[in-house]
Amino acid sequence: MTVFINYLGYCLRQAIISVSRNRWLALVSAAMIAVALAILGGFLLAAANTNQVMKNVQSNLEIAVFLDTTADIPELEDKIEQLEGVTSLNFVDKHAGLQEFGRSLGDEALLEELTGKNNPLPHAFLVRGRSAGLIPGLAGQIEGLSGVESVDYGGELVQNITRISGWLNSISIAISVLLAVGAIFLVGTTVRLSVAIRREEIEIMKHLGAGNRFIRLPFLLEGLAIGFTGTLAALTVLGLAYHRFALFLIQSSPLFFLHPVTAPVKLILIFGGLLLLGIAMGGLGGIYSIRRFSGV
Amino acid sequence: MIEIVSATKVYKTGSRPAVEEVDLRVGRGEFIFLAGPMGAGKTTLIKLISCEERPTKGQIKFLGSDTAAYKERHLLLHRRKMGLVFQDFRLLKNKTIYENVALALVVSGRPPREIKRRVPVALDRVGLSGKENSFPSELSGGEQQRAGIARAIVREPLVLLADEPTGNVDRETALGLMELFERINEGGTTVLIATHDRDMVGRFKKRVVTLEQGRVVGDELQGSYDRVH
Repeated sequence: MTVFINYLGYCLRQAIISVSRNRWLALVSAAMIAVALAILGGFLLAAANTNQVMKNVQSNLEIAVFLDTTADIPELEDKIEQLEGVTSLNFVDKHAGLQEFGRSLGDEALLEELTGKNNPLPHAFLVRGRSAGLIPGLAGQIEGLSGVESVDYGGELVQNITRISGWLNSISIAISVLLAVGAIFLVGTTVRLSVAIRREEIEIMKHLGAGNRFIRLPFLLEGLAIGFTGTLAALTVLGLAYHRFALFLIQSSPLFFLHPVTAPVKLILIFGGLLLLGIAMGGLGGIYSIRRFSGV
Repeated sequence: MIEIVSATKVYKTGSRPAVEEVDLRVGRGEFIFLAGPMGAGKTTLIKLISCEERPTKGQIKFLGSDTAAYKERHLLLHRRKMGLVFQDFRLLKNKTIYENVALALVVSGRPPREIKRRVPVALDRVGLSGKENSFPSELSGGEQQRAGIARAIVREPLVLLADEPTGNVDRETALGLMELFERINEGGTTVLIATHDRDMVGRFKKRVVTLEQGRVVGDELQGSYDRVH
C-alpha cells in the first residue's frame, strides 16, 4: 500500500510539473474541452426542456369536438363514450363556450354583440384520452361520426415541437462530436509535447527498469487533469446560466407547460454525465499520445 | 551468471552484423573489460546483455534463463538486477543528484524510508557526500559520472554494465573512476566495462574480451588490449 501511495505521489508530482511546463497549451486544451462541453450541455438542457414541454402539452391534450347544427347530442355522447381509450367527456354548450371565449378575449362589448342568435360558436364536446398517443387515432374516429363538424387536438403543435426537438438533438450531436474530436486532439498534442520534453527521462527510466504503467500514468493523469479543469469551467458557466434561465422562466411565464426542468435527478444525470465525459476526453487524449511512445 | 551463445545482432540499417556468433561466459563476481575499437560491437553486446536489444540469432542467458522467453515483467526484473553506466552520464538536468540516484529506487517501487536510507550510502560509496542538492550542471564530468555510478549501484545490482564510462573525462579522473569500479567489484558485483582505452585496460590486469568487427578475437585473463588489428 505504501509503495502504491509513493508511486501515485510520484506520478501526481510529474503530472503537475508537466502541466505547469506547458501551461498555455494545457489551458487552450482545457478551454476547448470547456467550450465543447458547454455547447453539448446547452443542447442537452434544451433537449430536456423541450421534452418536458412536450410531455406537459401531451399530458393535457384534449380533443375539441365541434358539432354541426343537426347533431343528435345524446346519441353522439353515447357513441364517443363507447370508443376505446376515452376517459372523460364534457359537453360545452355554445353559450358557455362563448362566455369562455369572451373571458379569454376580455372584450365585453364584442361578447354582448355575439350573444343570442348571433353566437357563431357550435356546441362542442371536450374529450380526453387514456394516453397522449391515443389522441390522434381517437380524433380520427370521432371526426367520422355523423353530427361532427370538425375536431381539433393541437396535433400540429405537438408535431412542431417534436420536429424542433429532433433538429436540436441532431445539431447538438454533430457540433459536440466535432468539438470533442478537436478537444481530444488538442489534449493529445499537449500530452505529446510533454512526452517529447520528457523523452530523455523516459529513456532513462526504461533503462532503470520502469514499466509501461509507471511511465504512462503521469501522462494519463495530465490528460485527466486537463479534462477535469475544462469540464469544471464548463459546468460552472452552464450551471450559473441555467439557474438564471430557469429562474427567469418560472417567474415570468404564466404557461404551465413552459416550466423548466428542475428535477434534481435529471440535472444530476446531465451534469454528472458531462463531468464524466469531459474527464474521459482528457484521458483519451492522454492515452492516444503516450501509447506509441513508451513500449518497453 | 551470463552466458552468451552464438549471438548475432543485425540492425535493419547495418550492412554487416553489429555482433556475430559471439560466445561468452561471465561468472559471478568477475571484472571484464570488453575492449575493441569504435564500431567493434561493444555497445551492442552491452545492450544485448541488458536486454535493450534482442539477438537476431543465438541466446543470451542470465542466471540460467534464456532472456528470449522474458515477458514484460521478467524484462523489468532483469533490468533491475543490472546497473547501467553511460559515457554521457544520462543524468536528468532538472533533478538534483539525490533525485537522480533516488529515481532508480522510485521506479522499482521502493518505499520512501528505504530510499532515504540507501541514497546517501550510494553517494558516499562514490565519494559524492555533500553533493546531494547539487544539479548535474554544477558538477564536473568526473563527479557527474560518479553520480551515474551511484544511480547504477544504489539497487545493489548483480551486474554493473558500463559503456565507455571514461570516454568524457580526463585521464586522472578516468583512473579514479576505474578504481571505483574495482572497489564495487570487490564488494561482489560483476562488472563489465566496454572501453577502447588501451592504457586503462593494460593498467588494471583484468580479464579482457577483445571484439573486432562484431566478433570475439581475444579472451585473456589478466590480459591487455594491445593488439593492432
